[in-house]
Amino acid sequence: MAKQLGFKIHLGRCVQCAACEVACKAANAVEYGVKWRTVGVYWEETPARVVNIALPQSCLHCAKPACASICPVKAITKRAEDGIVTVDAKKCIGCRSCEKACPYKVPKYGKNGKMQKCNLCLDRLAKGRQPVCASTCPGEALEVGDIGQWLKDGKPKGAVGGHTKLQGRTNPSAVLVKSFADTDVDKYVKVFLSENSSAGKA
Amino acid sequence: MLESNDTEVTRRSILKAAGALGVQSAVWGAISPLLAPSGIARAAQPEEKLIPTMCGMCGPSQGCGINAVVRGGRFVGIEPLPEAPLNLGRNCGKSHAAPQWVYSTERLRYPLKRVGAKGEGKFQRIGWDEALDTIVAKLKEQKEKYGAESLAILSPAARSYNSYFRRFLAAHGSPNYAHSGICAMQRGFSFQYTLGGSPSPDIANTKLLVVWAKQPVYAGSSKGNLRALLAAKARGVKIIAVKPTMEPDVAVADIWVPVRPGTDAAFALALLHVVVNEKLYDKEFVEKWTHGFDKLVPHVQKYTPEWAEKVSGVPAAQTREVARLFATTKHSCIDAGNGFEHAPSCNDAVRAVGILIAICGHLDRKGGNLLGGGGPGGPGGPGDPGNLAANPKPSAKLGPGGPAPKAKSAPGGSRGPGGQDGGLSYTQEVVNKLVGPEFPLPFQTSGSPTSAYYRIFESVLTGKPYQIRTIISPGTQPATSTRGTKNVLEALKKVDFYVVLDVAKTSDMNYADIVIPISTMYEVDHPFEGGGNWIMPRRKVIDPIGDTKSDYEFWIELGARMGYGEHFWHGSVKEWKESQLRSRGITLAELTAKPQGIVRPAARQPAYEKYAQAFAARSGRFDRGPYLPEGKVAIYNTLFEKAGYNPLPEWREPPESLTGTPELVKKYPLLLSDFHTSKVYNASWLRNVPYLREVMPDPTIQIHPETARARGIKQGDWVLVSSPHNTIRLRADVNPGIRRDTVMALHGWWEGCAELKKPELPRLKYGANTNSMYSVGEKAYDPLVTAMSSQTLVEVVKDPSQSATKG
Repeated sequence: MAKQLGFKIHLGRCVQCAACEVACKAANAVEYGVKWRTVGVYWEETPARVVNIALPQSCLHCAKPACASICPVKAITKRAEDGIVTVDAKKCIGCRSCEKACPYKVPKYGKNGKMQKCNLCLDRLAKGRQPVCASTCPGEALEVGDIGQWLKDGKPKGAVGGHTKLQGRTNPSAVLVKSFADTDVDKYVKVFLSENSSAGKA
Repeated sequence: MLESNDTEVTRRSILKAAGALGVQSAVWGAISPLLAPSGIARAAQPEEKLIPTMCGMCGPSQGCGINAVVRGGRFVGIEPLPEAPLNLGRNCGKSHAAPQWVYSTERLRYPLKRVGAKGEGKFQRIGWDEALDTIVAKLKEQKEKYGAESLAILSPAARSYNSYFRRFLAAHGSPNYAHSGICAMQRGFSFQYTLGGSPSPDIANTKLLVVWAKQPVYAGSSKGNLRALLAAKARGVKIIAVKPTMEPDVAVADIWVPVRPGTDAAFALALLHVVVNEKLYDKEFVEKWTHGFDKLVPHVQKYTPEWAEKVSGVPAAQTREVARLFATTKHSCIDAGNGFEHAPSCNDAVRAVGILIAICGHLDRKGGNLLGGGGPGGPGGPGDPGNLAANPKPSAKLGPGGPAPKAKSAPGGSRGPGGQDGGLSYTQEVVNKLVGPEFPLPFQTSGSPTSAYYRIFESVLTGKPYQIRTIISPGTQPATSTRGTKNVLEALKKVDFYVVLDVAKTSDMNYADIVIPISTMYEVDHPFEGGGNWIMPRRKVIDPIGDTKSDYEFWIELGARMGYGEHFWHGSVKEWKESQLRSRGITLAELTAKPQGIVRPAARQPAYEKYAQAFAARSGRFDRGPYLPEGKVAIYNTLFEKAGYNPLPEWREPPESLTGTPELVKKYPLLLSDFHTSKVYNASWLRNVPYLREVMPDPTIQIHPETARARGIKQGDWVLVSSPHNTIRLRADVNPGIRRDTVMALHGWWEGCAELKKPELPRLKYGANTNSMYSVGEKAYDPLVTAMSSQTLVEVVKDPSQSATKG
């Protein structure tokens, strides 16, 4: 498997503090009204208990990115060396096809009439820094790294369960970790990362 | 500033950062060859400077470490400072948004004097000399005519600069340091007078953790509270959360106890009832180390779980379950938060919790609540940043308003976080002049006397017991941060002289006679501070914006101009800084050689069960008597009894509540209270920062889906919330993480945000200021510790107008 950078999400460790959201905007000087990263919250009430779960969401740099496939001018491409999916604003014609094609509604239409989204902090990686969402997260819920390597590594340190590769028709580059004994991995998968979820919606 | 070797700093800190991230080496090694350590330094841009310093975006505890990024002379962002022991390179959203706050259009850039009517908002730019001379002339005149005590200074959240206006008050001869009874001091006081100290939870070793009236996520997510909570969760610790709403920290809990706001005392008393009646207590401890258990047994009989269910809404079965779990799980602790301070039964609730910890055998034992550690500060206690009496250095007694005797100003470094200087203490004669003692006079200390914040405004309005003539607000916004907004605004209109010191416009600045523009902590190179065993030089990231000064510079200069120079380093900031370091036994050269700060070895974990020593702790009162005269846990408090207060914890209804004022319930069927803090804002500030405002764009009210449905309210609707005192306008946040009979909002809303076209909000009608909604009658106060109620009854209706603003 070629190198594929992506997110490791330690389920249950995201506490909705929004540090990643703000850090992402600040580090990438994202315009007002657009978010490349959000923290989704899901509520459920049963007679037994109230459930409140959170998941940090952004572009998942899919192995088979629907945004790139549909782009009529090849403005969205996947980097061969690390699998990061990027938008070339010079080429983008703002037709917004990618916005509809992405199962997670990630690409955003900017004031400049072009699409924009998370590029895994390419400029930071070039400076030897981690993507800001992962480096700042106070709950240590996020990591960025090679998906294939993680899956080979087996159980992450300190976690209860092993790595669960997120499935989907675009093969998103994210692995989930069961952090605590009562973390319901299946529920997370169902609620947040199913197609047509509100993932990434600002 | 270390201009000469900034490049070196940049290189070194980046390399260090790489090293510290070694814990994630799997990630680090896997990403890309670009990330190899050799590539890191090479990739750093020469024009970008990283300046290690501390974040200045919240308080009261010390800032998290950051590497401030400066490009072309402009503060543009932050990078991690992994060396900082408090936050280990992690930072919250506020920290990342700092440049937007620093360069905000709302910044105050010059001293101002009011030229229009009070409240009108017309100001004229003046110079520093005129600003300072005007204040000096007014204070001298008033001291002569009315006595020094006619000056009151309102305390913001505990900041290190508070020590300097406390010092100013002492030098001037006024005891009126006005502390709002909603934060830490009340808990500290009640714990000290019950247990001899603040019982800090030993979360690292516990098996069962009760998070009670606390927001470990929002109260500084990167500061360690959250780390401790998640580490406990990962270890399999049983977590019980006691609070009205399900916040993210409750989401990780095993048991949620959805207590009604303001009824923690009722729930705590019922827990005592179960523990006592089911004999779940530690008999040996109770016999040997408590005073008055025999009086507690009959006293708690009336506080049955069924009684508490009616009052607090907590099901009786859940009360029994929690009591049994807490009492019978070896290594259990309680992490008691700020919510306790928001009810007139504050002292009772905290005392009941202290007694519960003690009789269950969890006091000063592994995994329990430890004595002699951190915990919330109490007046005169080691955790009180304003405490000068606890300072071991020589101190000067000041006569009532008289000339200050010669005294060696001796800044001390031995106190808890926030302590910057010490030295001046008060005479009994001056303390007796407190305009509205926060704690009864017999319990006031010689080092840190306090008036209750709201009592200052009562004094202005009623002239009783005497008239406050000047109010200074250094970084606090009484129109939105304390209760009784209507009265506060009237008092600000009436008071002779009002001075506001702040970084940006405040909610009541329009009433100020003089406005002092303050530099942010990114614009100054002082003070030296750090969290716990960490000290680092605060470094100037950029030059001050406009013609501003730091709080520290202001008080030192004002002190000197008033003629109190010998207590204010003769007006020399340089001299003050040097003396700060001397007292810490460190030189400037040693400190600046380590730009990331110096981490001293952590204090050794003291022995457990040091009861004889802990229960003999001496207070900061004038008699220096012990907190616990019997040398035992004060279940039955003889000191309180002697001062005319109830010796045993009891239940007291808030001024307006579902069970206390049934006559109001028909018109106002829901209970309203407010959150103290949030993930992106502090108190009354930061709404003007667009990147933060985008996270929480509008003031909201949390409401249960059933409660909302019954009123035709949908997610995001603008609603009108009416109490007997005011009507405010908020947006509905409909979710099931709240009791059906309760609605909750965040306090401190008034600021607009120009970039996002959010208008400034009224302080009273149709604004979003929760503090305008509560009763401020005598029943609103805890009679002993003057904690103020933030509970009332309301009705919520959908606003027929759904536009962003009303009227």
